[in-house]
Amino acid sequence: MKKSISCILQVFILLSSTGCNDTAIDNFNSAETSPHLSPDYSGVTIPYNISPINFRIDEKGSLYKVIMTADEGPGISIKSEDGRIVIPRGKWEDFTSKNKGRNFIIDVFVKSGNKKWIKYKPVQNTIAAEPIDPYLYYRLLYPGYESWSELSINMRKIQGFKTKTIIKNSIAEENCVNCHSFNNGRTGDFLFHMRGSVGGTFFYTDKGFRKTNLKTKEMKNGAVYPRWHPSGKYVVFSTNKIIQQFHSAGNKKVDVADLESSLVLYDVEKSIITDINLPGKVNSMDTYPEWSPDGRHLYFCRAPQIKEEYDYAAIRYNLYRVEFNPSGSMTEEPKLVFNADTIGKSVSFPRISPDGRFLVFTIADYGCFPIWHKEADLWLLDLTSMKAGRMDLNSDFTDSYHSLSSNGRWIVFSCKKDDDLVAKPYISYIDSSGKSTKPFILPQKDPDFYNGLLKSFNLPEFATFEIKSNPHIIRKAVFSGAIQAEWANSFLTGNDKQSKNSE
Amino acid sequence: MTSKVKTVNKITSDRLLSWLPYIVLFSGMYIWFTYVAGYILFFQEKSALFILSFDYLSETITKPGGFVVWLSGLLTSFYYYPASGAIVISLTITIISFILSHTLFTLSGKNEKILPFVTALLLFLLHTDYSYFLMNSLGILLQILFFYFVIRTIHLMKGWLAIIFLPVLYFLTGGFVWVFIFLLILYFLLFFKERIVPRISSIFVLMSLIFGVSGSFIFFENASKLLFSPVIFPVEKLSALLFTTTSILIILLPLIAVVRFPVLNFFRLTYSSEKILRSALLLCAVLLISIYSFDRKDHNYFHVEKLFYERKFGDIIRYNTEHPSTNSLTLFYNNIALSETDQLNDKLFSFIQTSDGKTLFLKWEMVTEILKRGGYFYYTTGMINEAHRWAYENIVMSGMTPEGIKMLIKTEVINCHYRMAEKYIRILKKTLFYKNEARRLEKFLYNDEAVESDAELGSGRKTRVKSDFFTITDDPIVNVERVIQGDSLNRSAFGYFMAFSLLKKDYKSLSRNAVQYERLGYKAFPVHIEEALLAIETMNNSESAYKGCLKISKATQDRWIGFLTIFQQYGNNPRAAEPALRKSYGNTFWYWAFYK
Repeated sequence: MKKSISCILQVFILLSSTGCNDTAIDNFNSAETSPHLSPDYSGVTIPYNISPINFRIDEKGSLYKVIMTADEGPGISIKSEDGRIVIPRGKWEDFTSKNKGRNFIIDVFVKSGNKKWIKYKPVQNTIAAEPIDPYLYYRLLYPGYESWSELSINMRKIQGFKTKTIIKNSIAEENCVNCHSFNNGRTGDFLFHMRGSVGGTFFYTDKGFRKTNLKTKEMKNGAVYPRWHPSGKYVVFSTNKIIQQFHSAGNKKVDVADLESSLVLYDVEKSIITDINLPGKVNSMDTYPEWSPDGRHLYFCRAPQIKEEYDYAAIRYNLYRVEFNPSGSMTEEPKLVFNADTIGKSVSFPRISPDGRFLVFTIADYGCFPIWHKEADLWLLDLTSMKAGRMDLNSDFTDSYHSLSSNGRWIVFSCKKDDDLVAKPYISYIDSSGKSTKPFILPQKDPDFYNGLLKSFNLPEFATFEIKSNPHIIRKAVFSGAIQAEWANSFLTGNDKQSKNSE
Repeated sequence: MTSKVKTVNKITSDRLLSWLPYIVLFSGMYIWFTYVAGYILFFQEKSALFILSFDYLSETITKPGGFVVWLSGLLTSFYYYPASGAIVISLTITIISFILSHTLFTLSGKNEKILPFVTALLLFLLHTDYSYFLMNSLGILLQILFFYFVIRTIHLMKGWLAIIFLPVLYFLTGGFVWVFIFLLILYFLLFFKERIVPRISSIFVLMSLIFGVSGSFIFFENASKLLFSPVIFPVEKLSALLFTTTSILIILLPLIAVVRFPVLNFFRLTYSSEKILRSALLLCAVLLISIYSFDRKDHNYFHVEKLFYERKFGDIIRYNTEHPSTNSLTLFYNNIALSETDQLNDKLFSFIQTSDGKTLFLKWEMVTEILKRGGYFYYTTGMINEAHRWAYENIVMSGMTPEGIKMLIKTEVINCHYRMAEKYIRILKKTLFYKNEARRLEKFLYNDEAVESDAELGSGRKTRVKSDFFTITDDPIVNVERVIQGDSLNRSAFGYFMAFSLLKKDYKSLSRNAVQYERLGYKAFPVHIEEALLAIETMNNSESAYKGCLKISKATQDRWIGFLTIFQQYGNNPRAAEPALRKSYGNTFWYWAFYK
């Protein structure tokens, strides 16, 4: 009877309390441990303009209370019966915007039945003064082998939870969509590839999407990994001949390698494509291009050209750079920027911070497809001192594809630390000296969202603008005629154009 | 008083009699699905995994027709038990027939039963095809149910209510809505005297708007998906024809209601005799369909598959011995069963085999039926990563299935990838009938000792490939060769390798590798290897191909003499000797080597 009365009283107290309750808990026992939060939002630095960091308290209990406090403004107090802490967006925005550049504390209280409340050690976090880019674009797909069914490129508003599908392959005969690429917040440029029956490369313009067929008869392989020149006039692509193989044993399931690769330059306005005639290209595989923010240097990864018989685990890429000549003909000898081979590693995905100070790349034991490499880590190269080192944000699992925000203070990357298979978007703050903080996962409305997630957030890319499009608009572009790129020996000598096919 | 009782009794018996045809229809179908055609339920239940969660619900119902998909998934999961599955199908068909009958009565005032029962029988016939899924019948049921509701409440807004609700009905039932639309148009044409054109044109305008708006701004699907999804047109020609006929028959319901069929008034029967006659006819029809539709081959195949999923390998071999099959998938399962019981090279030729090895392993193909099954060969030979890949690719292409997710869990557990296994187990726990299996598998998480002491998982971990190589999916035997190069003690892979050598009559390989049996701890050669070695010895002019310690049994030597004697009796003429050799030695390598 007493139990029933106590239960009724508890229910009454809960019903009478609102989602946010500022009542302080005076009578509690203190625990010596920190609470387990899922996702782990402890000891992290977050931007002030991010969505509420909803989480679950992974501690046994029947009643939970969280109090968030900082120097400025009222704190946030939330009660929960199941440990799910869903923070009201309005209060959160008010809280974070008033406490830019300050620390904040999360006090977690847990009560089991009639026992006293337990107060765990406070969780300390920081709200950075620098904002994060407002949008995150990513491809959502099964982290599988070679087949796909439903694929989409989505946009997530980082300040809220709104997600919008920009492209989905069901509108385009289930073709594969990939390699979405922005111009690092400098312009409104965007492109993506579609492979298959209605394939092409789609450039985002004021009038929608322009479908282009970049492959010309002079090109041995199709255009793959793109990077926009900061001016928005050019895009450099690597052209790759890729193979995929499957391991019969061990943790690594898939290996992707290039058999050949080189770089080409595309003039967006004129739709002309030309070979980048880098010295030494014949005996090399060049891939993963990147521009310096001033557009004067082109960085890329280079490995010796493999022979017919080769050891896949011995292919190692180093980082090079060359001065950019818009004619496409770059005769200067590429300079070795980072020699990964000497430390038994291989470089991929070089990305330069907008101020040109740092270059972040992925490093793995071999090859150029690190998402399947458990040992893959992010390294930071200081371009002034040319010193490189492993970033603090890395985990013991795959830390790969990354994108830097337009102010250079935030990095989002694909991390598999939760289950070693599904890549999730983790974000970290990078200070002016290049030091990164403990990464946190992109917050979701449902704190349990990632627990059941079987699809990967592939190629997470920050962006400063919203693509005004939807799959319907893209469908129109997909089924429209493609503009055929023209091949030229160089941009400057227009007479050298070799083909003028157009559909 | 007595007359009152009589009247009550009469009413009761009339009511019972009015239900009799439905009872006969339901019972006939129920018995057939429960006791005869459980294989249909088995196949369909194993085709998809229904997850009972809010996430799954919201993910499913946010597409046009998603509600039917969800409901159909929920009900199909009851096929797990033949009895409950039989109730679901039989009840769906009976309810359709019941609603059709009441709709006809509401439209015409006639107690007409022919169309409802003919439709029910057609649907029953459709459901006897294992590739015809419940969703189609359920979609039709929802349309006629809504139509019945519309004509019963037609006085409310004179048909406009039905038009207003069209978008909702489309959202819930997707492409099935066409059945309702045609029913409604016909109903307006035949039962309305005025303002027919505005009503019908409103339907078309509204539907064009729905497709235009939803296609461009909401669902972003292509036209054919928007128009017809989730209707599944049967693959079989006969089933496709039946499905179209049934749909047309239902659509013509308002027309049938107004047409007078003289033949129906030909027989003047009493109420009770009419009901009894109708029930008898129904029973006959159900019986005829049951006999006509039972497919022995499908039954046998799915029975073997069921035993295979239950890992009852001994039962599979016994069953296939009693019911010899020519189905390559049945033989594929049977060979795995032989391998699992270490009898592959003892009994290989007791069953039909093909020289290209297709009964031993399946070549990689992006086809659901191949992807779904091909991985089991790799699982049994210790190529756990490859088994995982086949299961995973199938899930990416065709969605989760109960056996698919179980394979993912088992392979992840064997490979010590407990975190992903845990994720899959969490999904399995959210099903209606696989909770216990999920709990059983959960016990292995983060518990290497439990895994290693389990017969299946422990053996998988012990024999799993440890020396890495890239798999060649187009040529499975190359994978087997690489497995035994890296792990010469993998009995199962070696068994398959030798079986393939037997099928290929590769005498060099057989002679060279026979010695391996000793290393693997065999006390005697498998029968077919003995047969091969004896044959090789004869070909080599009595020089033994094998120099090791194992001896060829006396029984095999005697049988070889017997074989040669028969051959000689027919003057060393292979063609003449064939019938006699087939009779006595058809299950030997010698017969295979001579005649295949």
